[in-house]
Amino acid sequence: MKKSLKLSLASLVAISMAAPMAISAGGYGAAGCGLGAIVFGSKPGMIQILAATTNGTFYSQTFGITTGTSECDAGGSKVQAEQKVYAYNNFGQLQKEIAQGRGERLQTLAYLMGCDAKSADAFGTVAQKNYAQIFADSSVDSDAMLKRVRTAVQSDASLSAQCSAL
Amino acid sequence: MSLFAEHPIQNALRGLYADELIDKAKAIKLADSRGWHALMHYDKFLGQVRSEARDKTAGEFFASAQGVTDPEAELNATIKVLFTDIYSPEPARCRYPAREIFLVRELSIDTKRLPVVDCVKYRDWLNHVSPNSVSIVFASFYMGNPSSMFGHTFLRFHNRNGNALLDSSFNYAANAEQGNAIAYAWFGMTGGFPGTYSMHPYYVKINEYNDMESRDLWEFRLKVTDEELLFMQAHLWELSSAYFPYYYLDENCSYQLLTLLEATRPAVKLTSPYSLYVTPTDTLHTLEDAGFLTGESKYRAAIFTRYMTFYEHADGDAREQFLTLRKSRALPVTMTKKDTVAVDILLEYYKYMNDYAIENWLAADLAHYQKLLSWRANTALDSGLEAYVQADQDKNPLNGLKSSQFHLGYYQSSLSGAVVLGIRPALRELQDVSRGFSPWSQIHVMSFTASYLEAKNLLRLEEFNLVDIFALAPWQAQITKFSYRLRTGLYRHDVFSGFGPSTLSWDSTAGGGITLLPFKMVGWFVMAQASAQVASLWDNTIRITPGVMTGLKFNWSVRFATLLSYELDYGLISNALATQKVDFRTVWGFWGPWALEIDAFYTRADVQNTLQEFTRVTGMIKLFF
Repeated sequence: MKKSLKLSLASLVAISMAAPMAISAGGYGAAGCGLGAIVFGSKPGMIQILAATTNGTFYSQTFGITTGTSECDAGGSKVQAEQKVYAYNNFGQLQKEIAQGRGERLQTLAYLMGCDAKSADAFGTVAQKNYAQIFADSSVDSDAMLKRVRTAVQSDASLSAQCSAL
Repeated sequence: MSLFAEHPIQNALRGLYADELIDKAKAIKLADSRGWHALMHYDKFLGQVRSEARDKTAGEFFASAQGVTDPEAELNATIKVLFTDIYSPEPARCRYPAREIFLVRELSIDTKRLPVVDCVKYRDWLNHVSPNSVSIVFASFYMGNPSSMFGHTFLRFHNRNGNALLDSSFNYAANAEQGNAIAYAWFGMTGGFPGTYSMHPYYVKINEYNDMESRDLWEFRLKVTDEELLFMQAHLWELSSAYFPYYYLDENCSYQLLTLLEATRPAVKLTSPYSLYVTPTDTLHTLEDAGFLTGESKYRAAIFTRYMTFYEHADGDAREQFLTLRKSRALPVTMTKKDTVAVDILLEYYKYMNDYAIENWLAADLAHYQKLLSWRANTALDSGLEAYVQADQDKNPLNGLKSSQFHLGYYQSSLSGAVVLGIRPALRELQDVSRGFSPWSQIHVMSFTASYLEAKNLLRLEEFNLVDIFALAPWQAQITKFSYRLRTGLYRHDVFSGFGPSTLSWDSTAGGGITLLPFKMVGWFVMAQASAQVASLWDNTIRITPGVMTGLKFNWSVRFATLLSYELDYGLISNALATQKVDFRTVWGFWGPWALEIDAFYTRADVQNTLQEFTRVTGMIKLFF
C-alpha cells in the first residue's frame, strides 16, 4: 500500500518536477539527495579520473586510481600516483593557493610530498616564490605543475630535507 | 585457491560446526532478530518481509538465492559459507565481514574454528580508510536544482593521519542514466534508479559541493565506539556489492545512512516503514535525538559564502579598489595590504561567477584572473580574510526546525468565517522561521489546507500545493543572479464565487525576475510570470494569464519575517479580465517548534464592468515536527 500510494504521488510529482528540471538543464545532472546524483555527469575536468573510480566495488574505486588507469598511469610509486590524482583534481585550487602562498589544498600537497607538518608554511612560501616558473606557460597541466613544484622544493635545501616523498 | 594447504576433512568438520550453529540460530530465532533484519536491510510491511537490497551480480550480496525474501534461508546460507567457502578468490569471510562480527557475537562462535583466509582487498581497504572517527556531512540546500533543494547527507571517515582532504567519504546516490527530465523524475519517484554507495576522497566532495555548486558543508561527528566504527566499515564493504531501488522521497541518501546506523546499533530504531518523507535535515535531528551526535561540528564554506565574507570584512578602501580592478580589469599599481585584500576578493569573485571548469570561463575573466594570480604571487602579504570565514549558527541545519508542519487557525473572509487546518510535509515557506535554512527560499511540497464552515457544516479544500518553489537571489556585492518561482497545485479563486459550482482551479505558474536588497533585512523582488489555470470555473476550462508579481520580504529576525506581495494578471483565452491580489503574511516563531502566522489577503477583479472584491484575514498556529 505504501508503494502504491507512493506511485500515485509519484505521477503527480513527476509532472511538477519536469518544469524545474528543464530550468536547471545546464547540462549538469542532478546531484545530492534527490532524484539522484550523477556527481560528475557533465563536469569536464573531473570526468576522466572519477569515471575510473565510480564503477565496481570500493576496492576498485580506491585503488583503481592509483594502480595505473588511463590518466593516472603514474609509472611510479603509489604515493606519486596519489600526488598526481590529487593535483589533477585540485589543479585550479592549487594554482590560486600557490599564488597566495597558503591554503588547505597546498598544505595537503605538502603532506602528500611527505613534508613535515612544521614545514607547511615554508612549503607555501617556496611554492609561491616559484609561481612564475611553475605556471610559466598557459598550457601547464597538473602533471607539469606537480613536477615543477617538486623541483622548486628540491632546490630549497632546508625544505627538501623535511620532505620525504618528493 | 587457498594459500593454506589443508586436509579436505577440515572443511567437512567446519561444515558440521556450521550445521550446529544453524541449529543454535534456529533455537534462538536469530533470523527474526532486529540485528539480522537491519544488517540485511529487511523491511517488513503489512506482514511481508523483503530486503531493500539487491545483488549487483547474482550471489554477491546474498548468500542464498532466496535471500531477498527469506531471512532464515539467508542466515543459514551465510553461516554455511563463512565456514566452507574458502576456495573462491574472495572467500565469504572477506565478503561478509559485518555479518561475521554479528554472528560471532550472537552465536558465541569459536573464532578459532573459522577457516583461515587472507582478505587482501578488504584489509587494504581498511588500511586505506583507517579512521579514528566518523562524521555525517550535510550539504546545504541548493536551489539551482530541484533534486538538491532539501540538502544532502553523506559520511566522512576521519583518517588517523589527520589530513582532512584525504579522508574517505561514502556517498549514497542514484545512478541515473535517463537524460529526459520527465523520465528522470518518474524513475526517481518510483524506485526506477539503482542507488549505490560510492567512495571518494573528501576533497572530491568538497570540490563538488563548496566549489561547483556553492553549498556550505556542515560536519557532525558521530558518537560511535571503536567496535561500531569498524562495524560500519565492515557493513559498507558488504554494501559495495549491493544496490537499492532509489526512492526520491523516502528511501534516499538520508534513509540509507539511517539504516546503516541501525545495522550498527540494532537496539536503536531510526526509520519507520510508514514515513513517506525522509529529509536530510530531519535525519540530523533524528540522529541528535537518538544520541548519535557528539555535539562537535565543523563547517566548510561555499564559494559564495567565502566571497561574501571577504567582501563584507574588507574595509572601504580595499572594497573600492576591488570595484575599480573589477571594472578596469587592470592590476594594482602598488602592493599594499589593501591591494592584497582587493585581489583576494576578486579571485573569489571570479571563481564564484564562472563555471568550475576553467575552460568554460568568460575569456576576459580568465585573462584577468591569470594576471591577478601572477601579481598575487609577488607579495607574501596575507589578506587575513580567511580568518573571518566562520560558521554562522543561524544557518546550522541542526538549529533549524524540523521539516513537517501542521497548522490550525481561523479565517474571516468577505464570504464567511471558518476554521482552517492543514499539513505540509516539507519544507519551508518564504515567510517561515528561517533559522537553519535560508530567508530567501521556499520549498513547499504536498501541502493541504482545508476549512470547516460550521454554519453550513461544510468541509472544503482551500489549497493543495503539489510544489511551490520560490528562489530569491538578492543582488548584492556585485553578484547579480536570477530569481524564480514555480508552483503547481489546486488554488481557490473566491473572488469569482457565484460564477460556478466550485472556485477551485488547478494552476501552474512560472515566473522569473530579480531581487534587490535596499536594506540588509529587506528584499524587493519583481517577476514576470505566466500561469495556466484549469477548472470548470473558467469559460473555456483553461485560462492562460500572463502577469507580474512584486513583493517585499522583511527579515526582522531568523524567527520573525513578513512577506508582502502584489500580483496582477490578465486572462487570455478565458475570462478576459484583470485580477489583482495583495497578500500579506507574517510569521513569528515564538517558542521552540511553535509559530504564529497572521495573513491578510485581498483580491479584486473587474467582471463585465462590475467590481468584484474578496478579502480574507487568517490567524494560525503552526507546529513544526
